[in-house]
Amino acid sequence: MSKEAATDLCSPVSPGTVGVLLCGCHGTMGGPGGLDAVHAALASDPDVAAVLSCPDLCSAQGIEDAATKLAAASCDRAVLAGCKAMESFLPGQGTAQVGLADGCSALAMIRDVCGQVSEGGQVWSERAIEVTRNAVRRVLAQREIESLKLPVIPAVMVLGGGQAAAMGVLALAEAGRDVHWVVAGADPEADTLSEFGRFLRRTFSQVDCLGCGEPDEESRTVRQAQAHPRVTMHTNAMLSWCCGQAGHFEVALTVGEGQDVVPVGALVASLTDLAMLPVDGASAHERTSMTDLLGLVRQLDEGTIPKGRIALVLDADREQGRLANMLSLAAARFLVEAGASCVRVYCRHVRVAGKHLEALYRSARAAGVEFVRHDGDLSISSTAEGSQIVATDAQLGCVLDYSVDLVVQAGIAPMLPEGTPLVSLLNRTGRSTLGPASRNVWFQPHMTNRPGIFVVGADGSDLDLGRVDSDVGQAVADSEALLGDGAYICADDAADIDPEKCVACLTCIRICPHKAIDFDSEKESAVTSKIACRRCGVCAAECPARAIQLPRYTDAELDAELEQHSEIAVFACANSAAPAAASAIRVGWGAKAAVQVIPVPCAGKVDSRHILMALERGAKHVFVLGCNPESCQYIDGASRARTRTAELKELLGQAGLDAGRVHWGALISGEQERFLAMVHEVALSLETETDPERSMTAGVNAQ
Amino acid sequence: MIVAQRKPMDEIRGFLDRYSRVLVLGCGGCVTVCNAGGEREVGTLVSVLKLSGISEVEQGTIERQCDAEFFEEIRALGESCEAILSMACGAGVQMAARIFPDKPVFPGLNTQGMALNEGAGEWTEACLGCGDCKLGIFGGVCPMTQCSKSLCNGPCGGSENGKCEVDPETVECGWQKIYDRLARIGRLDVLETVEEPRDWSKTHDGRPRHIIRQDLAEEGFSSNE
Amino acid sequence: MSEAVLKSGSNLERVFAAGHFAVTSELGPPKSADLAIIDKKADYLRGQVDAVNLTDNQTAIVRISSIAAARLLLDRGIEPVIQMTCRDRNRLAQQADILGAYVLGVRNIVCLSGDHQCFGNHPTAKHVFDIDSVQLIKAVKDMRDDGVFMNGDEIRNTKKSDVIAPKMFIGGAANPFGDPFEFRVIRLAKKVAAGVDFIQTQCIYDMDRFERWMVAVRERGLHKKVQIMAGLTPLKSSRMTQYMASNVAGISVPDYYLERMAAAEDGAAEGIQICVEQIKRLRQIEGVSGIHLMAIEWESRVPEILERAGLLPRPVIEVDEEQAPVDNETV
Repeated sequence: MSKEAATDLCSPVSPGTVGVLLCGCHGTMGGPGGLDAVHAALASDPDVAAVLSCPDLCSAQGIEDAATKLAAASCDRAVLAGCKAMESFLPGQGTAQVGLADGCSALAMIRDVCGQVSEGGQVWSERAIEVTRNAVRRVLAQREIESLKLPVIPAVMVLGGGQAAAMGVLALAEAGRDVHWVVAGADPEADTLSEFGRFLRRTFSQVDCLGCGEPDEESRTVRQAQAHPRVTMHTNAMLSWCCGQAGHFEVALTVGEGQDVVPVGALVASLTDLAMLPVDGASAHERTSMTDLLGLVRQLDEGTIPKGRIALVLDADREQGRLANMLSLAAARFLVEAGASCVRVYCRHVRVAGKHLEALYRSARAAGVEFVRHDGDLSISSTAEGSQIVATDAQLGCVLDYSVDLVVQAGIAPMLPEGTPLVSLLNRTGRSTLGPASRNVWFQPHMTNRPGIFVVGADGSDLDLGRVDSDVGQAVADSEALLGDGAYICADDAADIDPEKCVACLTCIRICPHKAIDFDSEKESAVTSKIACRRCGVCAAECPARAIQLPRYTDAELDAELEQHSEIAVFACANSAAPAAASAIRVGWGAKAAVQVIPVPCAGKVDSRHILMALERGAKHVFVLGCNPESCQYIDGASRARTRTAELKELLGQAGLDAGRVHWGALISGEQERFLAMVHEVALSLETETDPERSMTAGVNAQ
Repeated sequence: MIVAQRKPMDEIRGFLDRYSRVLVLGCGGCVTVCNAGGEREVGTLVSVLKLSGISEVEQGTIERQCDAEFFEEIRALGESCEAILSMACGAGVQMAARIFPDKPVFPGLNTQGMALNEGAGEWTEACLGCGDCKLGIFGGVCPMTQCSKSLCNGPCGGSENGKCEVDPETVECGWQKIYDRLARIGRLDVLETVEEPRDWSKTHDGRPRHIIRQDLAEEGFSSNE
Repeated sequence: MSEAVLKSGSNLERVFAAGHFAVTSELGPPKSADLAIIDKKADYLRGQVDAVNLTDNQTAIVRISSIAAARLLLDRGIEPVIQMTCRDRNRLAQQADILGAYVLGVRNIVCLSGDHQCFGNHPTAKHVFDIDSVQLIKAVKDMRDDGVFMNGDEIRNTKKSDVIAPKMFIGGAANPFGDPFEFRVIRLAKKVAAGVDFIQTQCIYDMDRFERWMVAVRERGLHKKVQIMAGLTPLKSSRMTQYMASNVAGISVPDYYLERMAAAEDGAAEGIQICVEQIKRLRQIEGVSGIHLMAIEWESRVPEILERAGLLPRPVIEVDEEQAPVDNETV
């Protein structure tokens, strides 16, 4: 039956001469007796060319010894059977250390797996043999993975003007990089951030805003950047379109009547033009009694200081971040001190957790600024004299209705307003976007979801102004890491699409979180970028024509893994669940049921077919464990895995099968208690079942 | 393209429960592209059927099920089974039944018609094959499919805020869309003339339609003539 | 008395022709074969209105058919207006029913699209919509004025017999509150071009918005080509008012009515008062030729409303033979 199921998923095994390196250390084996049985069983396995005993596999000497033996036996593939201690000495499955090519070895953690088995002796040996044999099948299902040196375009384009962009341009140019600096206007200096920065510096002198000192110094950076010999300026230019992938972008700039297409290897977008939330109302009358933060700051700069009753509405649409907070508080205090009769700040919460915010808040209150904390939405309507604001006080619960002369909409929208070419570049037709406003822990503020595209400049909703320079430094560093000397080195393990099988359904292109897949009309197939692909495997799981394989985690390899016929199969995300599982199991499992942990790069790689295959091969329970969906390294992989698992359970339920045997769980890296809580309970419950042969259909009608 | 969705599992089990050897046959055409009946979906379904106790479940996916030639590679496999579950659209299922006239052939999908893809995993009905396309009149918006009542001189009284009375939360009024599009291209004059009653004999209401391209359908030239 | 030849000779048409402000009401036939209900409602309405609409499976709920109910009203001394939707019948059935209704004595017909079947008690039924309301209006007009069926054939039994065509007074519906606002007047113009004689609007609560619609109607001169009857439904209670405001598509209720009904001690009395006020205001609007009073399940209060609005007694028009439509002749 396993053979039939095997033909579902995989291509024929590739030939190879497999050597099994058996670690002789007591730590691995339960005792010398166990080791002999394993040795004998493997030696008689037709797929194994040689079984080589080693004193240990967790020291430099031991590994060198193993490499020598392997070479002497002319093996081009190896299974290293020992314990988890091997991992720290043998990164990447240890291929390099034992003299083999990438993809040609597999580790079998005998001690860790067998440590689950509380009985010793024969049961222990059988399990050890099973685990090692499984690793042999797995290594035969793998293919050798070459190292690639891919040419990249050694130039960077910086989009946008302003302080952050200038710092980036200068740093890149001084690192020896050719830089194209594109600005929409004639002068790369002007930017909203600088205006806000100047305003804050004038009104609240304690703020060290941009981390690089006085306005003069800002100008200097811009001029230096402009003048640098490696920098090509493109002024009065608009971004028309951009295509390509990390290392190979083509950017079309419209300059006047003509269009320039510039090839670059990386893009840095400076987001200093903050998008203000739209001001309510379109009539001329309303315009005079309403403005936004930028408008207010400019008025104050010009010396036109509004008096009378002023309301600053901070959280109309959503709760605002530190920048809007700081500006509102500074502006409010300024207005009161300049003679406004009444200044109120409307907000949903008073937020003081942030550098300088508490001091600003106290001084604003002391100066006489009133704060209205409101529940829910407020309504602003225009009247003959100005505006009327109605809000429900959050503490008193009563409705406050005030007339004011000027309303300042103090909200700043997250960067990247819809419809701009930059947004389409990041988002394309997919739904997952990652902008600088993301809360995903894997993403630093300068990163976007697309490799090779970085953003700098304050994020209106989240960042301190003072962190701009550190973001620029990070973006420059990442860009340099990508472009190097003009070549990008990586393993040839990106998702691989078979053009013969591809039906051009566009699914992978749309769902790739990193937009690393394009459609090649000549090949009539989707094609992945080997540089941009993050190797998460979400595309491979979703392809309806099964045209995509992810090296190291191909269907053939997963099929080989599942030959273990374990009672509990755990597909574990390498970022969270796999490390948690490993430490949990090592600490002591204490249940009889054998649990097999199958690492995957992301829970999103796990297809329903793999879960079903595990069930078909006798697993009583299958777990898909991944990261918390808000913090998936691959943006939405965990979320997809969660939805997919839920749908599979629904399908099983409809078929009259026990959906309770399939589980989804989220945990953070190394959270072994959570792993135990989820999996161990279930394992223990298996022992109390009266019928050890309980099938998928038993007990269903009782539901 | 043609879109379809997998039938509920209990219905599929109802078809197949009495058989012990069945073939689940996928289609590499439209149903693969709409993630309903391609190789991946077939694989998933086969596993579930095996788990639910059918002893022998074979599988295969051919290029398309609307063309007879593609069935050749699985003909022997199909003949060896007691029943066939076709994961193609309604047309493909009927071809499968023609190819295997002595076998019970069941549909694995509910076919919903011709639709547009709105993004990964989302499709909206666009064309119901009326055979008398008037999209040129209505600014490229189809009154047959986009109006819940298929009116030619809409909207009806139930159109409010651009939404259809049938479900104002989710269904847009097709006639609002037609109006907006015609306004955009400056052809609102179209809406002032009374659109004549439709000739329904061109749709399926007339008869099952039979389409012939004469130049292709003719037998080859014979040198004996 | 107007000099023009009447198209159908119906009482409603005569009332308009004589220059009176017309009044129609509505009756939903029962959901069973219960004649007693028809008797009861007929008693309330007889002599109080110029004609009574019989709905046609309204909101897609099965009731006695409009034409059958119309014949019952004729037997009880009331002029009926049949309603015909496009949802349940194809063009053959519609033309056959128009012929049938005419020989049974019906002279008024209102042509409608019809509520979608999903609202009713048979949501799994297939809808027809062979033609739409505008095409139906044109069809009825062509039968009346040209004596032809929709396929162009003359309405005669054999090649040698006379054309004996049904002559109906043709009505349609209009919604002054739908979107897009401008388009609603275009649609009314379309119905006028198709041949509609009178229009009954959706029930009105937002009088300001209705007046704005009438401005647009007058700008196009449509008020001179079609008799516009404003639809009204008296409010019974605050709860009903709230329901109409939020749950019924195409009806908007201004806040001042919501507030009045909420504050009233006797909701019914307040609702009737509001209705009377509305009628008085409507009579002042240029282009409004009558009202269509839809007192759903409240037919008993119709006389009182019309009395207080000064619309009783209804005019009794002498039938002038010379002005009656001539039947046995092709036009």
